Amino acid sequence: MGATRSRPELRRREHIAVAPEHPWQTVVWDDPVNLMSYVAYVFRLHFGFDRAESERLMLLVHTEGSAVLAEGSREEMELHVEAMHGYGLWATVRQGGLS
Amino acid sequence: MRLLPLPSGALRVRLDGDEARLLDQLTGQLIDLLQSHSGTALDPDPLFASLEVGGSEEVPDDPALARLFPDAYAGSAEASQFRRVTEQGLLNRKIQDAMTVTAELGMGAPPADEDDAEPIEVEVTPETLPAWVRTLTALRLAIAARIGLDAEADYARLLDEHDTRGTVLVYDWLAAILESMLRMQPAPEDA
Repeated sequence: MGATRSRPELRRREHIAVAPEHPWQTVVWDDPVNLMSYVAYVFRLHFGFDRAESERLMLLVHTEGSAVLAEGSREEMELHVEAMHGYGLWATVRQGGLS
Repeated sequence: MRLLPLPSGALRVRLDGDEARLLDQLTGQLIDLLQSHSGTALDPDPLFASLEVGGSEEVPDDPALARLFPDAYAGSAEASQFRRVTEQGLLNRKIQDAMTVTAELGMGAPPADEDDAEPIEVEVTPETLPAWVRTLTALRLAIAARIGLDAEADYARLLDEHDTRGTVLVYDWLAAILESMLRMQPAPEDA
C-alpha cells in the first residue's frame, strides 16, 4: 500500500462503472397467465413503488408488452430479474440504448 | 373457499376438505416436478439452500419447468452463464415456498372415506403470504404450460374443449384464491 502514484486508467474505468452510458435494464414482459393484481403486488413489494406507480407499470406491461422496471448496474439488474423469476414473472436483463 | 381478514393482519383461509386435498396434491406435484429438475438434494439449512449456487446450461425441455425457469437474457451465451449460477437457488426457494404451503395445510394421509374430509382453516400471515402467492402462481404457470395456454386467445378454446375444461376450472379456482388473498391482505404502507 506504499505507492501513491495516481493511476489514471483505473480512475477512468471507475468512472465508466459508476455512470455507464448505456445502463442495464430490468425488463418485465407480458404473459397471459399472471393476474394484473398480482403483477402490481409484486412491483409494490419488490421495488417499493407506491400503489399508483405499481398499477401504472403493470398496465404498461399489459398494454405495451413490456416495461423497464429498473436501470443501473448489471449486477443489480440480475438480482431484480432473479427475484422476478422467483415470483413467476417473465423478466430479462438487457443493456439500454443498444437495441 | 372463504377468507377472513383478522385484526392481527393475518388472513384466515377456510377450505372445504376436497379443496384442501386438491391444493395439497397439486402442491405436492409441483414439489416433485421441481425436485425432478434439481441437481442436488435440498440442504436442510434453509438459508444455505436458498443461496445455493448452481444450475443447468439451457432452458429445461419440460414446458412447465421452462416457464418456471425462463432465460434471463435474450442472448443464449449470457442466458446460460446466468442460469449456471442462479437456477439451483431459485429452484430451492420455489421448493421452500411450496413446502411452506403443504406444511400449513397440514394434510396427513387421505381419510378412509373421502366424504369424511373435514374443512380446514389456515392462517396466512404477512410473513407467509409471499410463499402462498408465489406457489399459487407457480401452479398456474405450470398448469398453463401443460395445457398449452400460451396466449390469451387460447383460454376460451381450452375452456370449451372436453379434455382441458376440468384443468381450466382448477386454474381459475387457483386464480380466485390468489386474487382474494391479494384483495384482503392489509393495505401495505405506500412507499
